[in-house]
Amino acid sequence: MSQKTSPLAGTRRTRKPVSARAEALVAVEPLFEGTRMVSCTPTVALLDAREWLAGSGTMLRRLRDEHGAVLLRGFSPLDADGLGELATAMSGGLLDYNNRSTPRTRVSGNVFTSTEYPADQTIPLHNEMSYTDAWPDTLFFACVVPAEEGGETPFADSARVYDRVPAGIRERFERHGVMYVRNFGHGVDLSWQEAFQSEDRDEVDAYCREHGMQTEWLGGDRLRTRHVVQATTVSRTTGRKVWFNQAHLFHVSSLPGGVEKVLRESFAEDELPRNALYGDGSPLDPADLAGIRAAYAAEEIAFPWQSGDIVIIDNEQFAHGRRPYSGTRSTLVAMA
Amino acid sequence: MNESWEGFRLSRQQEHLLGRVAGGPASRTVSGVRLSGPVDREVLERAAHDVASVHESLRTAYRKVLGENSTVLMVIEDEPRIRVTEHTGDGATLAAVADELRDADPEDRVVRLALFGHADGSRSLLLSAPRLSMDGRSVEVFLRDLQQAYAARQDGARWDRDIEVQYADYAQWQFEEAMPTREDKEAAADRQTRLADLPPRHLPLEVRSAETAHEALDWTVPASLARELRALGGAYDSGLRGVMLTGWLAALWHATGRPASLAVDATLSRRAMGELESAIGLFELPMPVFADISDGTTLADLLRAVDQQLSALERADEGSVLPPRHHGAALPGFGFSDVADFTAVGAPAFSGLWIEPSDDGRKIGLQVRGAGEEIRVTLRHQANGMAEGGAEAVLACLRATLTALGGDRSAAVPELALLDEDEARALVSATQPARASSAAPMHWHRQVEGTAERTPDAVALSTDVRDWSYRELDRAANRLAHELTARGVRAGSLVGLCLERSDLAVVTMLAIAKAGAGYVPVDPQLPARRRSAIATAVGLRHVVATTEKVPDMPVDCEVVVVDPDLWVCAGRDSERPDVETRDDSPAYVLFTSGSTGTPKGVLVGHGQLAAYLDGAMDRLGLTGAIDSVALSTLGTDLGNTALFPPLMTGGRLRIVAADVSSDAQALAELLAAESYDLVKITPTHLEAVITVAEDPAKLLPREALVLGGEPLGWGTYNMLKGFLGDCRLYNHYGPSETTVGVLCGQVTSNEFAGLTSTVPLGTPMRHARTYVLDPQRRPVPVGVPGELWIGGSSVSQGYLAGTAEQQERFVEDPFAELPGARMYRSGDKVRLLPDHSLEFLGRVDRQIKVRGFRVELGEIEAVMRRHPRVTGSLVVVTGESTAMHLVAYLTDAEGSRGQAEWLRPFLAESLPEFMIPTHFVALDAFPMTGTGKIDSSMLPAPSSYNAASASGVAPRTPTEKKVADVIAQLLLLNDVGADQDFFEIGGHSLLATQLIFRLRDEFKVNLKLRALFERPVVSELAEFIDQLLEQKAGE
Repeated sequence: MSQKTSPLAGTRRTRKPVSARAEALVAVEPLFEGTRMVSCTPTVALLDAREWLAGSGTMLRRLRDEHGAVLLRGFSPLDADGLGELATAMSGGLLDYNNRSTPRTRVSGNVFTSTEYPADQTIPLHNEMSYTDAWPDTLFFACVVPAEEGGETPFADSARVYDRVPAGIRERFERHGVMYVRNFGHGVDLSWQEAFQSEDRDEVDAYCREHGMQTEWLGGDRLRTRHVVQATTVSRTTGRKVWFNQAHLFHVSSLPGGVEKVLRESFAEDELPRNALYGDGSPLDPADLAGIRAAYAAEEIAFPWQSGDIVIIDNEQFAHGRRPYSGTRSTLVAMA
Repeated sequence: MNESWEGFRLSRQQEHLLGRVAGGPASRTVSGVRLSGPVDREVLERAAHDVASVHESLRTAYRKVLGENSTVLMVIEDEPRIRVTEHTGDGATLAAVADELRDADPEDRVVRLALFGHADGSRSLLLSAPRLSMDGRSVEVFLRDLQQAYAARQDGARWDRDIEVQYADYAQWQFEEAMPTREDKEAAADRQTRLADLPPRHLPLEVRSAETAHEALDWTVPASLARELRALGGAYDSGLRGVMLTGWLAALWHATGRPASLAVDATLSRRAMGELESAIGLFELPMPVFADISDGTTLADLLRAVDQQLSALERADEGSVLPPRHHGAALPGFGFSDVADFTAVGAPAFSGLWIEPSDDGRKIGLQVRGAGEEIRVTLRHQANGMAEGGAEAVLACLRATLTALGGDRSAAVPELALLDEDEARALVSATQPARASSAAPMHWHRQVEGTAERTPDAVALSTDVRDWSYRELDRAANRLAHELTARGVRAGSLVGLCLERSDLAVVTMLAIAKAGAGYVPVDPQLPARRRSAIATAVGLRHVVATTEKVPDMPVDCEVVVVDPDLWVCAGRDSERPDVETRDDSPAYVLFTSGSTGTPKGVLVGHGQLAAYLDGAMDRLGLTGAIDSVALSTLGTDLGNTALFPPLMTGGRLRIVAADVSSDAQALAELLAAESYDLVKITPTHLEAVITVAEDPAKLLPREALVLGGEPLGWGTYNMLKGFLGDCRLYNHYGPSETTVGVLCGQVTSNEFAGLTSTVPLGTPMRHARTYVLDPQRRPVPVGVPGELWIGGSSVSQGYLAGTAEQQERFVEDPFAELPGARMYRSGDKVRLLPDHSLEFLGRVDRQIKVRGFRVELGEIEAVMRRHPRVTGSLVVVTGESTAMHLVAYLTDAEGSRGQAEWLRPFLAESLPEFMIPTHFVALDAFPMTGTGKIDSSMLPAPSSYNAASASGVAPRTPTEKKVADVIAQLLLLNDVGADQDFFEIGGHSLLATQLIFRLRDEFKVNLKLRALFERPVVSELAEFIDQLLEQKAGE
């Protein structure tokens, strides 16, 4: 049974033991040239992200704070419960997704399926719940089944977006803040009951008061809310100023052309299901919105999901969105 | 947790094992050898110490890097840890020692050796080490090194040898330089797909079990065969291993019912690289080896294919051998070792190496162990994973395929005999009835005559309106027999019976028998064309009917008209005609569906009928006068079980008219009102009756409830058992060609419910012999599917002349004790169960049962194609048994698409009602599979086409809506309109019962079946239900 030259033959190899310190069990690399976002890949098979988090002390939190966004790739896949455990372990309790802006299905505890928004549409880059005055610190995305085509979750460094937005626009936004107007109960968007997860008007009024929102009950089952909040904020971890509003999402111009037309024909400006205005109540200049969208577009980074991927972002440091896709796509989201 | 330590990365084999084997790092390889020569325990321990000093893998501990879910690293320690123990005892003690070695502390990386002294003074050495460190071949390497080290230590020297590649180096090399390429990953994905596409596998008598323990069956290949197999292996690259794997695949193919393809997870040794030959570690890993076996596949073909796969897998680049992530563990396993005896100067000799198989989680696996000339196989299977006899059947198949491999390898795999002649003979004789019928039983009409003499005044027949005493019955039949004779009926003639089920019909049947003739049911309900086809096939010269005009009879066929008072023969002699019947004299001819489009007539002689009736009364344990009820059509033999015995024993036969027996409600009331000893009915019919009954227990007979005509589901049994009381329940089976029935078994428990999908058919009755045969007509082992062939004294005379199937279906019975006996090929796929009862598994062709009637789908298709517009036809069955539908698909010469109701009247002209499909759908073309067969999975559901059939009147009230929905669900329709009639859109009487049941459930009202017949239109029915609801509210 003599063999020809064996691939194993020849030189004695240099031994390379693997350190079992949790920090050493993953390789940390920049995700791309020119972004702060990093990827963490296990150097051994079968590593459980929860156990790694537990074993690595502050490492993952440090990576999140320093880099704003972390991709965990190649760990053992987590289901909804697993993602919930990871998120809880990372930062205490999970936020309930209240004052909802888009429909999501709850999967397990406080883990949701990623926004159930039509597959052929883009969700623009945004910071989660930046249309209000309280937002989650950290977002967790987990890819269960990647889309056949598309379906990436793009990210953007909000400090760089801030820098990129032209100074004039920035000034206008920072001076006034942004007013978000929502009209519930027209049958187009969510009902107020669904949006506030409540059937009780008093409860909704109380919630809004507490969060600085004005409520205006209209005839029928209709409710209008107005909320003036920040346009930018200062990252609690980096101290950098970040672009932090959803004017470009709430403004009626963010809808596909046909939809915008229909809505404008059907509703008066203040009756639109949702809209954004300058904080003083004056309408947004389309040119300003174009400038903001251009800034986001320039800062967008995206990569295809792989099954089992987990992305952890600091919600103030990084914005996220969703690209259109085809086929089945299943992504989980947790917030903390 | 945060302490700092280092280790080496695992190999892919180790990762695979961790991911798959319960116990992970704790799992250990246990093996043993026989020792000869003196052994010193201390020397042995020192020698083992030396061996472990050489091989790092024997000093490797496995530590988890983080918590429970994360992987482990190899930590190589400097100091070997060896533990040697000594034991004496018997086989049980040995097994206990092996258990103890296997179940050592999970964290224990110690290499364990046990010296075991047997009762006869001989000794064994047992070895145990972590499986992650030691595969099968490593055991051999260890033992050889141990001998060397022992010899050295005997001389006082420390043993050492140079190791080229330590295991950690190999794992590192694998990670750095032998990672799977993109192509490797794609090939692995393809393999995974192929595994997922394998047909489901059913081992003989497989049962679901959560048992984790295993049982084993051993067999030593006979020496001469072992020599042959070894010689054969010499001609192939993969050697004896390839030969044994070929035998295993062929055996599994036979044992699991001849699947189109199958796979075995074979353990590869993966030591092709020279450096690894004398290394210790986990190199082996399981990979699937596939086999596609078709009619022409010879043993040589299969062997070549297996050899190629095995050799390629052993030699393949490291990165390309990626075991499948899923399905692999579900495959049958295969492990192989072939080791000569170990001898070394100055050390004890080792012989008879055994290694415990590693495939613990599998349902079944084969371990082959060669030692010197010898070959032993161990069939390991999940304890309780197969019913008794299942594992033995697999082993029988393996013996057969290996024997064949040692012989003529040009033989086709499908044609191999699974049992040798002695085994076959033994199985056949063990599965026949214990005692055959004694003397030839008397023909039925002679027994009726005897009864008429013994109890002339007892009631023989009763209907709604009159009773017949035995004297009346006998005399009336005598007079009619004389009349028939006078009209030209002779012994051996056939006489048409064109009568509804009635007392008159029974009198006529008896008269025909007395005249020496056989009766041919020509049901007045049959479509004209079918009736005339029957009359022409038989060449009927006489038909008995209630009216002068019997349409569609041949012109020269004389009609004997009978009325309730039998005026036609009132003047005839009431003495018995002097006509003798022989065993082969015709008793009756029955027509059944024929796949070519023409019904075929089965000719049953008096001897065969008598044999059946004798066997039935014996099996059903019926003695004395038997009261029973006739509620099945005379056109099939289903009802014969209950029709003849009362008249032969002096009991009373209650005749139930067709309009009562097909109305579940009416029949339920009738059965509840009177009580009988014997009832024979189909399960579907019984369920329909029980569903509407107020007190189901009252419907059951005193003695025997016999179900037959279609498979009996466990659900039906479970429903029945609650109110069976003292009544015995029997499942009964048999084709008309062998006279009514040949298998019958009392159902007393559902102990086989986990094993069989339907209630077993029982064992052959005393007039019958049954054989489960392969296509070459050789018996197959217990648990293995085969076709049922039927011999014995009730095999009919066969089909009427002109039927081509005669020669293929009726052949000489090679297993019979009597010369000249024949057997019949049933076309039913069955298997023998542990108690030698038979289980029905399906048809080998496309025959189905509709409400107990045999239907050849091919016959419906053939009749469809006779319509000038139909260019292609296909009939499929949809829905579960109680709501089964036939759906006809066709291609239309005029190019229409969608609903094709225009064909229905055409079929109704020549086919009985139960053969008319519920839905007709015209297609542009039939969907085809890649191989050009019709892909029935791609046929559109009829509901996607019948929207057009719905009326314009949408249901208006909530009740109408609900009623329409329930009907639509039942009839597989999209929409049902408020003005539609249930019976016009596909409903029939048995579905009517289902509908009533569902409506009662929906509305919680006491709706009677009759209401549906009176108000079959949705709006009327809904209005009636609303009335009932109002009444209920008012109460």
